[in-house]
Amino acid sequence: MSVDLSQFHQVFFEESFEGLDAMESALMELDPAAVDTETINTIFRAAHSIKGGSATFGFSIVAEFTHVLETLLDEIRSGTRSIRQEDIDLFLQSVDCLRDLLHALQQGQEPDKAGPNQLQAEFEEILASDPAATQTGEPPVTDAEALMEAATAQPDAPQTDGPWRIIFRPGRDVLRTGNEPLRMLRELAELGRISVTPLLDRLPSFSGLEPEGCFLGFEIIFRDRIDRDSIVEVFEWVADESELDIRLACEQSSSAAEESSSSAGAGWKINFRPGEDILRTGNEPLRIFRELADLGTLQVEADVTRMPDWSTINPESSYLGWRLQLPADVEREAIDEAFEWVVDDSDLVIEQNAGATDVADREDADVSEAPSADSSAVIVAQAAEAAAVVATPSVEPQEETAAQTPSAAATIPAARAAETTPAAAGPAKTESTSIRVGIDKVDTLINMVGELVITQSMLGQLGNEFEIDDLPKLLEGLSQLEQNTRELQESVMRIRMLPISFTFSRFPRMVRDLSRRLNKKIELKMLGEQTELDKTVMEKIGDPLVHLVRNAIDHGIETPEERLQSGKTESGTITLNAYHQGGNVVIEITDDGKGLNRERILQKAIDNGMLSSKDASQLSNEQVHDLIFQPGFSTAQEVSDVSGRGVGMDVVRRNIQELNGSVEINSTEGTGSRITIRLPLTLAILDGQLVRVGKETYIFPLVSIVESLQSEQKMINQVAGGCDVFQLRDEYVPIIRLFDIFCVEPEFHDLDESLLVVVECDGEKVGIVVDELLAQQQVVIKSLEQNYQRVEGISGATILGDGTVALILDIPGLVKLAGINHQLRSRVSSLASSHQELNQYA
Amino acid sequence: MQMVNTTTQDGSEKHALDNGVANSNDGDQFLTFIMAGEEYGVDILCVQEIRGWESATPIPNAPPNIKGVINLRGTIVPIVDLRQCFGLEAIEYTPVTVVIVLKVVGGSGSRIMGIVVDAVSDVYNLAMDDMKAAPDLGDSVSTDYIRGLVNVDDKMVILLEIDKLLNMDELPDLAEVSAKLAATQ
Repeated sequence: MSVDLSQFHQVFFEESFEGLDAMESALMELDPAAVDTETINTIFRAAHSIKGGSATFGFSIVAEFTHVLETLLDEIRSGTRSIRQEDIDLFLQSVDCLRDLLHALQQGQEPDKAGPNQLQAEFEEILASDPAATQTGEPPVTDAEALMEAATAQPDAPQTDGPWRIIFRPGRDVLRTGNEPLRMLRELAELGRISVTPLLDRLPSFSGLEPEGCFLGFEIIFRDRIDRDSIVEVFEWVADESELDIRLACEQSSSAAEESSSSAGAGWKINFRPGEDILRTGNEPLRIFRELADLGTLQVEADVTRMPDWSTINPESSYLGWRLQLPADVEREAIDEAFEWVVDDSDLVIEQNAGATDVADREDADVSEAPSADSSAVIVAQAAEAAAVVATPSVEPQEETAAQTPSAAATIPAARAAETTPAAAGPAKTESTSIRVGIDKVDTLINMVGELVITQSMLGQLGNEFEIDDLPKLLEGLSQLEQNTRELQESVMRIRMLPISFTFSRFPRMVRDLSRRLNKKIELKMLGEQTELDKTVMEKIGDPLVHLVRNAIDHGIETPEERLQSGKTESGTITLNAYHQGGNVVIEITDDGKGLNRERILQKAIDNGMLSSKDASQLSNEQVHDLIFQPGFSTAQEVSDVSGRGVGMDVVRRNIQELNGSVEINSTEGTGSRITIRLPLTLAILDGQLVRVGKETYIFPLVSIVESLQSEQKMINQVAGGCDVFQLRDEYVPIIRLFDIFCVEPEFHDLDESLLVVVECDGEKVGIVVDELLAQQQVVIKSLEQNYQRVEGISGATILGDGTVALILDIPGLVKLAGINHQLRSRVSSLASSHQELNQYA
Repeated sequence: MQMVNTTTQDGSEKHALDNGVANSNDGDQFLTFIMAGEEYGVDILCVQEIRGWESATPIPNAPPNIKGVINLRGTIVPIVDLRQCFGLEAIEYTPVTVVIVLKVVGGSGSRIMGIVVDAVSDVYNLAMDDMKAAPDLGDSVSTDYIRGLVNVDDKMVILLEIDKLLNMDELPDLAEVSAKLAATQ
């Protein structure tokens, strides 16, 4: 892709994804029974801007696909077709398909064409089903196919013909309605070789020019074979407001560009080639020409030889040169004055002209610099663009002027030609992540910085002439500084925060699709969508949430018949609720379905060999519910494509734990379940419990701590000489001596003196022996790996208030390090019986 | 002029370059430090700062030559005891014990590390031409991390290739090397 366009790719992708989201939610709202025009318009607008953008950036596959979509939408919009539920489904599918396409393109991969082609065929079928649809000169359905064929360079399809001669005169308002003639020319150029000649006969005089009006016409010679409809399709959006004449070229006597040999009498001849930066320096050539036009009849011819290649064109640069002619009675000074401001940056030759022939020669010579006929066609089109933008020049190049000696070299220094081609930059980066931040957040941040600056200057002044009496002032200043810093930190963190609706928004669609597939009636309620969450956390919580919601739909909510039988309403409800609690974000997924079936879970666990039937009867409900988070556990009777492969819940739990979060499930059989996820607000800051072992300070993530208690030697038993377990009420908890595995000298070897921090890891409780509990505080996580390497049992480091470094414990890593066999641990902890039974497992 | 080549291959390339450029700078600058009576030199461009020893937070289960991590203005920086790296007898750290903070270019980008040495000695401008290759200590011992030996005022200075010496992926057990090196002198 070109340099100048590729920098906008990211924006295009972002906007397209936003557009797709908008389309999706609008489609969800769409009720076939009562179609809201505004909703349809929303969908249409989104599709249209994606189409426009993708065509601009050359993603033709997206553009073509969206085009078909748009055609159908337009018919619905204009009322010629009513929308059916099937159509909505198809639209939703195509939203997915577009999303995939865009993702592939964003990654720089070749998109898979099978999906879009199939959907496209379906759309075409729909379009074909109602011939009344093609009313306003819209193309028959076969166009899209023909277009596809043409795009894949198979112009020898049936019904094609050529070459074509197209006279296209867009309406004056075409630019204002957002239709860019240039884009149509590009679309045509994609179909085959074209050469374009602008038709300038309708150009008004200078004073009558409107910068936003389009006065140009185009004569396009389409040299390849193609069917007429494909051409019509290119112009379909402007056909109503434009004059369009499409004929086979042989039918037409080629009377191209007769106006070119304009009468140029004796007078001033000015060769004006502004510097490339002229527009950026605020000098508008058009203004100069107006000034000149005031002096006398002005004739302008544009010189487009410096036009760079399409891909390297810079919209802010001026590549055009002009040849101007003025009557002889104009004062030389007056002309000089007009160019006064730009003469330094431009090549300007002003001479008395004897006659017209000279000019014609020059012009031909200039054009002949174009290397080949093909590229001259391109250059002409470029001129057309420039003409449309600047709305000044009369452009009269002819591609036939092939081999004449370039005599323009005298007025155009060769070095300048090189400058006009911007250096090509490196290939575009495929993915750069960005974040959209509300302006209010940025404003708050700027306010904070302002206050910080004030505090800083106050402290600075205090420091310059400090006397001991100023001490209270200093302390006050310092506390103010502390407050500013804290507020600043909070606002910076808030910038990374996004409302959770970004994640929630995918669920209505999912619930709708799944409930239809499973023949269930489900209503989705979402609460607290504005709850904000760190972007990184949000990205990682998406998949686990999807899994949980899928589970709720598949396993939780019963079929309407079952629901009616058990005395519930026919339609089930799934509620997603997010709210802040302390430093955490809590996300609850509640369903009013059948709840977890204790017997079935236990049976499954026994079948899988996770439990013996004897233990099973003794488990508490919580423990039973916890079982579903074990790897390989699924109670679905048969594996559906929705869920039930048994890779679900343990992955969910692991993902959440990786975010330093926790997940728990509450369920009452027959009335539903509630899954509660607790997540830290951000990954960069952690609520920590500081503990001391010997002289060292370590930090436990607060979320992983279940409780802390005084340990007692007599409560500790050793299982099979390997693993010590602590009797915690009716549970046995394996214990890890931190000093043992970290090889530090503890203050207390005696467990009667030390403390036991009970943490939860993979659903199992583990006791960790420490000397002392210190403060609880928020810590900023710093990487150890950056300058050192990964350390087993340590997830990172932080800097304490006194400047020393403390290490943050990685609980799962610690457990692994302690080498406690998982199997043993799970059995031990699920046992609430006598030592004899314990020994039997060891 | 005769160019002395080291045993390392990429070293020779660098020295050839130094040799060819006869600019105002007559050689590279090296910071030297003392350890167990020997003077060692590191390229001064690697040196970020020199600071006094302050207690580091030990890293559990780290090799004994890793003394721990310190907070260097918000960055966590590991501290390596070079004495222990070289298999020299560990000594008690005092307030005058010095940590040289170095920027080491390793396989995975650059990292910042501190090395504990007995004392910082001097900064020399050393011409590469004067450098002698490290003696061949046999196949069993790699001398990759020694750039060469240089005589300054009748003292021998051992120039270290710090990027190789402190490559965390394979922090070498150098006791053997230094023993052999000592034996050859």
